[in-house]
Amino acid sequence: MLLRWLSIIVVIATPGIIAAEEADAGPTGYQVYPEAPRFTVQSRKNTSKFQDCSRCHEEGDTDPEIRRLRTRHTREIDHGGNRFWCLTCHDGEKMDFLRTSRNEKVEFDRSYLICGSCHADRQRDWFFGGHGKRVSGWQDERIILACTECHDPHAPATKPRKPQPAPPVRVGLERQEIHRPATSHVWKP
Amino acid sequence: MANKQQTEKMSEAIDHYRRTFLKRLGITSAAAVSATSAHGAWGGKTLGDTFADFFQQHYQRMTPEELRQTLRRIERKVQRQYGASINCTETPPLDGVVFGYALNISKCKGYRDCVEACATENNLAADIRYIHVLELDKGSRNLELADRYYDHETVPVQGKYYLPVQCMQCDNPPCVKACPVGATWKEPDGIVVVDYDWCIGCRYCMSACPYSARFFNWTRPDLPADRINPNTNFLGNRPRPVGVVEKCHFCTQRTRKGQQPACQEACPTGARIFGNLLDPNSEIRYVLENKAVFRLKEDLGTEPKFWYFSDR
Repeated sequence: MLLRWLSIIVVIATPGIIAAEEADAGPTGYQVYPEAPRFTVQSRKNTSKFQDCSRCHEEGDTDPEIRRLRTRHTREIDHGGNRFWCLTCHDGEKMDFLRTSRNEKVEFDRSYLICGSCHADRQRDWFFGGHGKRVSGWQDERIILACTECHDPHAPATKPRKPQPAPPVRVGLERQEIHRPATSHVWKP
Repeated sequence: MANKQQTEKMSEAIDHYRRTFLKRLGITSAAAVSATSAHGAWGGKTLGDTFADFFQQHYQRMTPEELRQTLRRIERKVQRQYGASINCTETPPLDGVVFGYALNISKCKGYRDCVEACATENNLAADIRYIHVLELDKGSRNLELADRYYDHETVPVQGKYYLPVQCMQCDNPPCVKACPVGATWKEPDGIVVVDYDWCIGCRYCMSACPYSARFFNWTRPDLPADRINPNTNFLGNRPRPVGVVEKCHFCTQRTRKGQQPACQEACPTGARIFGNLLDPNSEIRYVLENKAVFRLKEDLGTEPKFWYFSDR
């Protein structure tokens, strides 16, 4: 009887242990800047924006050869000035993981460790709250968005878009033209 | 002769006014007597509310009981004027907190999402906006050449940058010094607020403000009932009466409960950073200590608590 109960417990607990191991894979954020205020990154897993690579890629079947991708990968990589290839950031073995330039395997929700391997200044700002977006209130728990929430890692530059309508001119007033001086002393790059 | 005629004319006119005045006085007092029920004269106001409105104290001099009654009266007034039921509360400042704001002009792309979110959150009249996003030529900081009415297909436009301006919540606020009746003051958490019911509408504060951050209600705000934000507070976003000055108050109805101001929550690029200046671990303190920050019109000595910085 006892044996039977033990086996049940082992069966239930095993996936949990594996999941915990995978979740702990790679360095944690706090090790990068231990003095940074604690934060939680809003998970992008299980959202519509996120797609598992393992839906199509089985473990270990990735072709590491650099080539032009044909199907499914709808987007050209507009990042890193043509020097990037999938496996620059993605893990070749397990496609649901990323790999840093220091060859550490990290999960998708810790993508900031990958971004920081090139954009170290931004990463430092992000850890301390000078870059990125906080979604919780200004006090108590600090929940922040991952880099990939705003920047598509395959084309990270923010895209121009239509602004909200111009503010109304106050009732009774007229919109004044801006009188630009004939000689402009504006610095031109 | 002509003089005498004129005097007679004048006395006739005065007599006329005296008579109509007395007549109206009689009507109003009769109405006052009959208006002790819920509806009557003065647009459905009860006699009690009318007198209480007239004798309403300055916010800082109200007893808790008076304040409680005032808040309920404001709720009734909004229900009567706009047909919307709101919840008007008092949000006292938090201990050990002084609010500050930092804005990254490298990240602001001029989308104006903050402007719209602010208007919805704060029950703004159709022609008032607390935040103005200025479009400036890159390399220039001449605010006279700034365009706040830009309307492009897409932003950001090449060669331009965007500088949102709003109330700077100065630590040495010139508007407070200008107010002759003490209707505006700096709260312990650094926010400059207005008691809309104490304001006499002289607009001295508007001419004293170097940032054009105060706005006058020329008409009663035309708010449709379904657009009114029901979560309001006394010193913040409750619907304002006609003839008073209003301004950005760092969303006191939100921030004093720990939430972000509406503009920061709406900003899609994360350019806005808000927090407690007294907390050394706060994000705003990191920005102030590690970035090259500047403030607008710093030379005036108004000590704004609104900083701008850029990534480079």
